[in-house]
Amino acid sequence: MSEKKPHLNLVVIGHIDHGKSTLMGRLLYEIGAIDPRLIQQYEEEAKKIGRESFKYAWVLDRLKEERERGITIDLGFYKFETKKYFFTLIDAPGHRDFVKNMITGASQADCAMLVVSAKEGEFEAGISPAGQTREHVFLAKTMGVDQLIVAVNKMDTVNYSKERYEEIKNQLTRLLRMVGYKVDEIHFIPTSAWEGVNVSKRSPEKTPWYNGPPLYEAFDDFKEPPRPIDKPLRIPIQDVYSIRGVGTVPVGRVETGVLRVGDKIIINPPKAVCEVKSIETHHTPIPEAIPGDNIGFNVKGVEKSQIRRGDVVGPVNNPPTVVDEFIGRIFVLYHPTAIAAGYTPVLHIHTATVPVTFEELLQKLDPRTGSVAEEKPQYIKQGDSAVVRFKPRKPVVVEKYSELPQLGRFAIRDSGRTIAAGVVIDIKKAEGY
Amino acid sequence: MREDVERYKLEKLIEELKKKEGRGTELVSLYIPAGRPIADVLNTLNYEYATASNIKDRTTRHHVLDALATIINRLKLFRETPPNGLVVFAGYTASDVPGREKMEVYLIEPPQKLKVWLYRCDSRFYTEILEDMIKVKDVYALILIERDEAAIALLRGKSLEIVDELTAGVPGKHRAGGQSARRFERIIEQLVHEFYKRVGEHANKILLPIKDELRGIIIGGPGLSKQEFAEGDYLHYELKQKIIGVFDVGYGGAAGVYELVERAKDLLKDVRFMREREAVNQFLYHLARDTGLVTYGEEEVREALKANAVEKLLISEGLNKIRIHAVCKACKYEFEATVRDNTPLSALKCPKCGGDVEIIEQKDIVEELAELAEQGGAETIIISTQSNEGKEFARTFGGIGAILRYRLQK
Ligand SMILES: Nc1nc2c(ncn2[C@@H]2O[C@H](COP(=O)(O)OP(=O)(O)OP(=O)(O)O)[C@@H](O)[C@H]2O)c(=O)[nH]1
Ligand SMILES: [Mg+2]
Repeated sequence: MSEKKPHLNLVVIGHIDHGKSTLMGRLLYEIGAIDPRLIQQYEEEAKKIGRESFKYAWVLDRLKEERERGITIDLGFYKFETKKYFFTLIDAPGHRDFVKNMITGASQADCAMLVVSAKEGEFEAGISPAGQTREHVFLAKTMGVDQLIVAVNKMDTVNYSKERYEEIKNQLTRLLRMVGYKVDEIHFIPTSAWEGVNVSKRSPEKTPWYNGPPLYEAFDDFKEPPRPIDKPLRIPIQDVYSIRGVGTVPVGRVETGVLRVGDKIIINPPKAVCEVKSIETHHTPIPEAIPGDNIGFNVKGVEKSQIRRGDVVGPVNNPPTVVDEFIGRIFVLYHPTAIAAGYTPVLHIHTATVPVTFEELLQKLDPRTGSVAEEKPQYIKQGDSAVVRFKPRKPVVVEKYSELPQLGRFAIRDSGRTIAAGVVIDIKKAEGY
Repeated sequence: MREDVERYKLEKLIEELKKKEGRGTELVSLYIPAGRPIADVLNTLNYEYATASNIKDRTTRHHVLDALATIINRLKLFRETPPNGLVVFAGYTASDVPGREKMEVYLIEPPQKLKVWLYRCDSRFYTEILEDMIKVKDVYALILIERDEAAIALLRGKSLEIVDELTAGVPGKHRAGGQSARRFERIIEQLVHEFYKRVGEHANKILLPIKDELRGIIIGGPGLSKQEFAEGDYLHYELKQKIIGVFDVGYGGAAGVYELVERAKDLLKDVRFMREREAVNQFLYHLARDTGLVTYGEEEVREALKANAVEKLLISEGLNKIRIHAVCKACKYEFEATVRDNTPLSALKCPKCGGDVEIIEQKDIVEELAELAEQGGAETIIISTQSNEGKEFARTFGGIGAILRYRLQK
């Protein structure tokens, strides 16, 4: 890897089957980030199980179940470089059952590519109220991904129609603006993963009406986000490996602070104290990791079974805060009935997933001005903003948004739908931490 | 439902009975099985009466004899034993003031056929058989499973409880492709298999001992794991036969339990937990949509009941309140009021003149409102305080609410 290029984490999001994995597989293939022989091998194997059209997606879809079902389940990671940046690609699943994995991916990303299919009916399914185009966009923004580009994919299925492209662009613009994106800065790129249109190179022969950059170049228009190295170290754990001959290797993205080889660290909630033996990123050893780095690090003094996804690494003298309760300001995106105290859906914060109870509704806010509309409301409903006291049903690390925004924003889901987004305004530490 | 109200009354009564104590071993508990002729019962009791005359302690002897006499007199009024049998409790229960013990007698028709005969004298009432009778025996097991996470929950009557949670260290996708990918894939699959095995062992341990009560096992989770688990040889074969549904759910652990219940609601619709949840959700729905078809608070609901406007009465079992009907001894003013059930009624004063009052009638508020509801043809749903919805309802809406047939004029 080139040391000098800044590092960006790019999450690829969108409704199921819209071509996220295929598009990224195709890009990696075109720019030579993947051995052409491997694609050939995938093509043969995919053919055998009647899934030839998934050969590019197999670059990222490596689980047996993913290949058999032709869907992405778990986050897929890959590295590639552009002129300006070094990217960690995070390919997210679109299936509604795996939204929780997508949230983890989004929580680790600096920027996102939204893939929507232009195919008749597919775009419409994604943008419908229960569709994942809509849900993913909302979740990406909630988890702090402020930069976005859009690939309007499968343009081959609509004869590269400019009208279809415009129609889709208009609808998406409305959605993105509503969610809070600055739509003027967003590229909408007409692509075909299948025919390699506007992926690594411009394709004026197919889309003469499009003047913008292809995907590969558009990635260079992302801006490098601030790197909060002066804040205390925080790394939410995304996965833990136990590697023979090496030992326990948690992986995750450094959100704030700096991790150095030799550091003594604590992993909370399990309170596991250990020492960092080595750090690597994409199999390259590095002496220290800074915010944005997606790393695996070998630690001594802790067993793999002690830690898991959702735990957070911090310095021994400033450990990640485990809360008993916290106060959050939320916006209710969707709820079929009304929310009253006692409601217990699922909280997603950084890489953690835990059941959480609405303990007390403190205030209802005017969604436009943010001023208090009602003290201690009895219930809140869809479209409301509110300040709520929450109680996680299990120990979890939560930080104040004003201090560590990366660990202070959250999403709330229930029965397969995203209910609310929020930020943490106050916390009550758990006893014993 | 009527049955729920009956059950509620019985639960309350048992709670009361359990608190009562006799001075000595002088409280009589009698369980008469279904089908036993009353004449036989009276014969036996007469024999017990004779035996009791030999009790040495004078007070105890008198008390037991009194209790037996009371029971015998009451039973003489029965032409035959009620269809489910009969449970009788009688005796002098202790009071704060010595010498002021009073004779109490309770005749209870059990909710199911009573099979045993029992006669016992003790310092307390023997309620165990009755308690066992109203304990809900039907159980549904919910298993949530994914490659690296699982949870086992039991749904019994009004309670949904997560009894076990497991996690496995199955890593996600390997970050590098290339040579080792295939070997890595095999290792992962092996770890997944071992995890399913462990979940199966836990489930067997929890569920085999209650297999006779188990009405069904419902399995859920994201992806194929749930099918692999349900179809593979992970559960004991006797349990495997009890699988009644497999559902897609977005979470594999404890976080998925509620979603699974929701997905499987057609299979579970006769479970009390589901009826309560459904009713509370319906209540909240009307509230959120401002349909005007909902009201809450004791006064509001009482008004609506009296106006015959209630379709469903929702009432929390944990209210601990009673409704009294009283008259002032001084000014004769008659009034009704709701008070906590631990309020000393003797301290109650007339709201008009402050004089002492006489209680004409007192009733648990749940029973009282349920009766009002029945008179108006409304369904009563008793909301337990065990579910989140139930807690929510009790805390936020004071535990009394109604879904209306039509809008009430304000
Ligand atoms: N015609 C056409 N088909 C495409 C294109 N891109 C992807 N597909 C097909 O769409 C199907 C789904 O592609 P994937 O890449 O697996 O979609 P995905 O968005 O990654 O799906 P999930 O990860 O499961 O959400 C495959 O059969 C692809 O070959 C395209 O540009 N044109
Ligand atoms: Mg995919």
